[in-house]
Parts: sequence; C-alpha cells; structure tokens
Amino acid sequence: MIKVFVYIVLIGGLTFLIGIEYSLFSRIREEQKQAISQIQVLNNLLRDLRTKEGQLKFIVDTSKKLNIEKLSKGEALERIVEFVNQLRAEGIVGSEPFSFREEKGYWLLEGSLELSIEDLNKVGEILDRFRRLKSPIVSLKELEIDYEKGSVKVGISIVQPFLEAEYGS
Amino acid sequence: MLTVRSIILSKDRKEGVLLRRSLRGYSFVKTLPKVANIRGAKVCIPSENAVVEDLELPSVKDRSTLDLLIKRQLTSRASLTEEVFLSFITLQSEGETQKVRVFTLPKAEVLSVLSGISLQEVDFIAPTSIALASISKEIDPQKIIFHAFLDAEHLCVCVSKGSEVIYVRSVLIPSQSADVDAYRDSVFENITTTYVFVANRKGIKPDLILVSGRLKELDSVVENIANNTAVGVATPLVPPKFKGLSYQVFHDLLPCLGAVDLPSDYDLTPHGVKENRRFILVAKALIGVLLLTIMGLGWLVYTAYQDLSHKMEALKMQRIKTVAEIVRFTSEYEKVKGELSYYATYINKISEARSSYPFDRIEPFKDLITLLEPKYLKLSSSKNKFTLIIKTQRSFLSVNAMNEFESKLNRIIERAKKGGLKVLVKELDKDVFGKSVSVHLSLEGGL
Repeated sequence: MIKVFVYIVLIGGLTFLIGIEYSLFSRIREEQKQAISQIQVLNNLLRDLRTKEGQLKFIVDTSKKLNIEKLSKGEALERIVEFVNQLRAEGIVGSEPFSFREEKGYWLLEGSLELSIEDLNKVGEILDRFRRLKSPIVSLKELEIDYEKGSVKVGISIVQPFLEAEYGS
Repeated sequence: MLTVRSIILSKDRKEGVLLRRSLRGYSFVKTLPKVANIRGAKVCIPSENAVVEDLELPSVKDRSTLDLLIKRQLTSRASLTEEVFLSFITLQSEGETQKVRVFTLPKAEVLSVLSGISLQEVDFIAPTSIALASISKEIDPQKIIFHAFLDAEHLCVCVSKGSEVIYVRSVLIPSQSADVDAYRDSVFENITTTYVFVANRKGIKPDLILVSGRLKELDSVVENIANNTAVGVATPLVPPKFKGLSYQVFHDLLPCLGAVDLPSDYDLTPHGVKENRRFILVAKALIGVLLLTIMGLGWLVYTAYQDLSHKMEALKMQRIKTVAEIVRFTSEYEKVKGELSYYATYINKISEARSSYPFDRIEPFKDLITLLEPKYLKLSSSKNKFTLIIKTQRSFLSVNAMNEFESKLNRIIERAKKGGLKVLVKELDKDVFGKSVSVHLSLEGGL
C-alpha cells in the first residue's frame, strides 16, 4: 500500500512538473510571437522612414541642383511684376489683360503676348529664354502664328511659388 | 547494463551468484555467502518434491478455475498432498480439452528454505530440474540428455530434450558421512537405478549422460557409470554466455546459472508477487516516461528561452536603431520642413513648364511645315497632349506640280500616323482650274 502511495505521489508530482514546464513553454512561445511581431512592426516603420527619407532627399537634392531661391509671398509677387515690366520694356506686349491669381503656394499669371512676325528667329529666342527661366517659371500654353496678319500670339502662364507665411523665413 | 541476480538456496546452503549481463554475455561478480535481502533475484530451489507433470484439462481460460482444476487432478493422483506453488504452460489446446505442463513446489518446503528472506521480494522461483534442463539444452537441444547434478545434500537427475523435461528425480543424500565409500556407493546406486528405470521401464534412451556439480570430482563413480550404462558420459563446459566464470564456480552454482535464462513459463512465483512485480514495472515505466517528458519539455523550454532572449536582444537593438533613425530623420525633416512643400511645388511647376515647350515634338513636322508653307499655325499644349493646327493655301504653276504636292503631303501624313499621331484633315480643297490647293490640318499627339 505504501508503495502504491509513493508511486501515486511520484507520478502526480512529475505530472505537476510537466504541467508547470508546459505552461512555462507556452508562455515563452507567446512572448516569442509578440517579440517577432514587434520586430516586424519596427521593420515596417524603418522601411517607411527610408522611403520618406528618399523622397525628402530627392526633393532637397533637386532643389539644390536647380539653385532655387527662397521667396516670400511679397518677393514672389515682386518677381512677377518685375518680369512683366521687363517684357513691356522689351516691347513684348500683352494683347489682352493678364488674369492674375493666387493659388495654393504660388502666384499664377495667365495671358498672351503678341509679337511681330518679322523676325521669327527673335520669337524662337524669346521662347527659348522663357523655357530656361526658373524664376518666374513660364510655361507655354499656346503658340499661334498667323502669316497673313503677320502676328505671333503666345499664350503663357507665369508661375512663381512662394514660401507659405506659416513657415515664413 | 541490466544486473541479474541469481541465487541457489537450500536448507543448509544460502549462497548466491551475482551476475551482470554485459554485451558479451554474463559476467560473474561474486558469490554471496549470506543472503539477507534479495530483490528481483531468480531463486533456484533444489527440492526432491518438485513435480513436473502433463495434465489434460477442459478448456478453461479463467486462471483461478484452472488452478483449482489442476490442484484437484494432482490430488487425485496422490502426487500432491499439501499446498504448493504452482505454475503451468499450455502445451496444446484442441477443442474442449487442453494439455498443460504443470510445475509445483511444496509451499512449506519453499518457505522453510526462504526463511529469513521476505517472500515478496523474491522474484522468481524455479525447481532445480528445470534449471538443469536449460543447461543440458546448451550442450545439444536435439538430444535426450540424462543430467545428474550433485551438491552438498541433493542428487538431482533430470532427463530432458531441449527445454522439455521428460523425467525428474530428486534425492536427498545424507551429508558426507565419515565413510566415503558408502557415500560413493549411495550416489552411484541412485544414478544407475534411475538410469535403468528411465531406459528400461520408461523406454527413454538417453543419448548422453552429463555429470555436474560435485559428481565431476567423484572420478570412480563417473567411471563406473560409464561402464554400466554404455552411453557417453560428459561434464558440461562453461558455455560462452557465462564467459568469465571459473569452471569450479560454474559447476557449484549450475542450477542457479540455469535459472538465469528460464522463460517466465517456469516461474513459480506466487500470484500476488507476480502482480506486484507487474505493477512496479508499469509504475517504473510510467515514471520513466514522465521523466523523459520532463527532460524533453525542459529542453524545449530551455531552447525556447534561449531563442526568446536572442529575440528580445534583437528587439532591443531594433528599438534603439529605430528610435535613432526616427530622431535623425525628424531632425533632418525639421530642417527642411518649412521649405519642403515649397520646393516640391517649385520642382513640380518647373518640370510641368519645361514639358510644355514641345519644340522637340514638332521637329518631325519640319518637312510638313516646309512643304505647306503655312498661312496659319497654332501650337497648343495642355497637361499631356499637344495640338498643331496648320492652315495654308498654295497655288501652282502646273497641275502636275499640284499633284506632286498632294502626294508628298499624303506621304507625310501617312508617316505621321505611323508615328502615333492623330491626324485630322479638316479641309483639302483642290481647285484644278485655279491650280490651287487649300489645306486645313490638325495633328494631335501625347507629350
């Protein structure tokens, strides 16, 4: 009888130990899983960060390469006015009034210029100059050459971005 | 290595041999001069009252009923008069009858021999005759062997073929008297009469006589047996599996060595002891399995913990790294944060503006423009396409020149279409008499 009792106690004790070990094991496994998922989350975070950093770097590098000036809202407006005045001084006249408005982060001036056809080479030169301008930025919307009337009409839009006041330097 | 203990016990002799089973067989460790506490040993009891008998019984499976039937049969044959330890093996079973071989040892005799030893702890009891038969089998399992073993107090004769015991005789020979000759005569007489009884009355012809134990020292007796029986007489040599035992020890403890390898069929251990033994075995196995499980699980826990701590370390490093990266990125971002959208807009606008000058795109139409000598030309571009509108009016000196012009124009238009442009001829008027053509073309392409 004592033997039976001893064996039962032994077996019970061992089973209890196994239970403890098993619960320990499953807890460790749970922790392991959590650690793995946390590592993954961190990895994703890092990857996102790298992508954003790449984009940032691209923008900063490109703007450095292009040597972009930082202009405030007023300075940007001045730049456009200056440009239009310069055009006028050169005798390049707008055929119709410019439409002028402020978009989100930039000034936009739209209109058309009238040039004389006599010297087409000069027209080409002007357009080429426009194309290379960085401040303000001039894009070509339309180019109309009427050989009979002897006129060249150039539809352009002038854009000058500015630093928003809230970030103002 | 499993340690097997085997002991030989009799009234005057309590001696044992401790055998250790190794890979090469059994190795003799030492004899036990005084046996006090033996556990799991195979006990061999020399008894002149050991019974080996074949019985025919009705086919019953129940163990206690079988015990009862066997005891009744043995009592009716008068070969059993007292309480016995009983064991049997089924030889054959046909329909409603079965043939069993029964082994018995008188309980009183066994208990007297075992006095001083707790019976519960004795594992295996076998009659000397069966142990002897198992040694005879080692010599030749096919031959009928007449085996005579003599120790200090008993002469045991066992006729067997293989492990089958055919005839047994166990005689008490009074301890060596002063008269050596009388002792020798007594031994010789008992052996020869048994032989004559077996060979003539029972009709069993032994192939070989084995003499063992103290008999091998009685040269004159052995010689006389050889002369009287006209059958080969030999003494068993130490078989390879008892390697390491001296010849002397082998002969002295022959029955207990024979008992070592006996199958449980010959086990005369009382029922309760057998059950107890089984319980202990099962419990041991269970405990072993549990221990193994504990070890296995422990190992798993250990490796899992190691792995976890590695992962935790990695996680810590990753955290530090991530935080450092975030701090670095944030400081870098802070530096340019204000200008970022500004620069982005700027770059975007510049690239938009640059692509709005489609001079490279109209390069292929130089031919067309030269050919047409346009009166009106309009080039407009929006976000992703450009349109070129050309109007002209040409007059020619000859119709031929006019036709040539037209075919040239068509060729150019075809080429433009192949180049992926959308060409719309809005107007193509030919005045054959006025020798003039007026054209209005619209070309559209992607940027």
